[in-house]
Amino acid sequence: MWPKAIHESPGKAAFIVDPATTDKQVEALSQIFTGQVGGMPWELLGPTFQVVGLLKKKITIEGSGRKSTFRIDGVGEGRGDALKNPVTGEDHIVNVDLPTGFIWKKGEAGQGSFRASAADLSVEFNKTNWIYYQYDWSNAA
Amino acid sequence: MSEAAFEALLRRDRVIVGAALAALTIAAWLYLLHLASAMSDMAMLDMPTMPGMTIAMPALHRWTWVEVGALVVMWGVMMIAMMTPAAAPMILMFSAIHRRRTAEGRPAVPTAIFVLGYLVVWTIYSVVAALAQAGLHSAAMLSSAMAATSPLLAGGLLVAAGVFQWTPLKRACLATCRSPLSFLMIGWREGRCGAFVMGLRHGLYCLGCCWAVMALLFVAGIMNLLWVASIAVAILVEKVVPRGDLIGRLAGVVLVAAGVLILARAS
Repeated sequence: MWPKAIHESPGKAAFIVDPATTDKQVEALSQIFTGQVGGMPWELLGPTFQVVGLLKKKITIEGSGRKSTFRIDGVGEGRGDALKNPVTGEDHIVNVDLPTGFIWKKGEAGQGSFRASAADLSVEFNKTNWIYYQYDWSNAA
Repeated sequence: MSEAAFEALLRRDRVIVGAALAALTIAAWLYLLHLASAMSDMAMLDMPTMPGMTIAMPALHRWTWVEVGALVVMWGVMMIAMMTPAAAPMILMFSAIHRRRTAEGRPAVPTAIFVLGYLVVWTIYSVVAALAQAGLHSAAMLSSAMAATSPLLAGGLLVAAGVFQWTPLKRACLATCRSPLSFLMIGWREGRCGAFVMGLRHGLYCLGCCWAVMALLFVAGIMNLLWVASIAVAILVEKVVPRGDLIGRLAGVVLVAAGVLILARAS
């Protein structure tokens, strides 16, 4: 979470990993996410936040595509759905194609709600922007 | 290196880059103050043979390249004085990445290269502005205080700058300038050449934001330092304050109103 514009720092982050994650894996992940091993976007984002907590909790992912759900025991959950036709309430399927996208190329658009709280941090959004995509950040020079 | 020592190093480095930018800005402003007072002294002496005099006078003669060169320097220093504070968040973010690389022994690029690319754009703008100024002096459309003598020019510039505040081009450029993070994430390039190109690109977005409002210097006098400072503050507010884009658009309405008023009085 960042209280101001991200580049104005100081943000706070809590990391949650599956209980099966070893200390060595946690260390490797922390080096990536805090930007210590370089590469975008973490090299840029890493210095803008402070890690205030590390939790080991069971993570469950169910469903598929935009209608995926993920849940972290005792922390929170996120739930995705399709956009709805405002008259009939039927699913309104929208896909986004970004051939030159630098984070993702093809996305399934929808609406999602999520809430989570860990280590003094708490977020909650309802029926907000929700796009299901394959993360594709090449870091090509 | 321990995490604490590392953080201390980062903080110290941020202070150094910040101080360098502040020093650059202050030096540019001091030069402008010096230039402004020298010009008013010369104007009072009323001695057309003094060197540099032609800059301050509504000269109707053909401008020499030396005189135009002096104008380019004046504009260039002014652009540094006005734009450095607004560019500071982007420059600091760029340097944050590279000082971290330095601390970890990875290849890094000096921040000055990024700044240089940025300033190249504003130097080109300074050349264009200086040529425009020489042309306006020759056509006797600027006073000895370098302010527009023609209400048509002054009013027209105000209306044009005000309308530009509402254009999609302005909005797009300002959005990029307001978010250093997304600019660097989308357009990151490695190496010295990459840093220069990124500086250049940031400069272009910045120019896209501010060229029209900079042209307002012709309205109340290019060396009217209160006017110069007001425009610089307006640019800074628009760029770094929350909802600054909205403030910029409201300022556009005020500019159009002022321009229309001047044009109406003249007719």
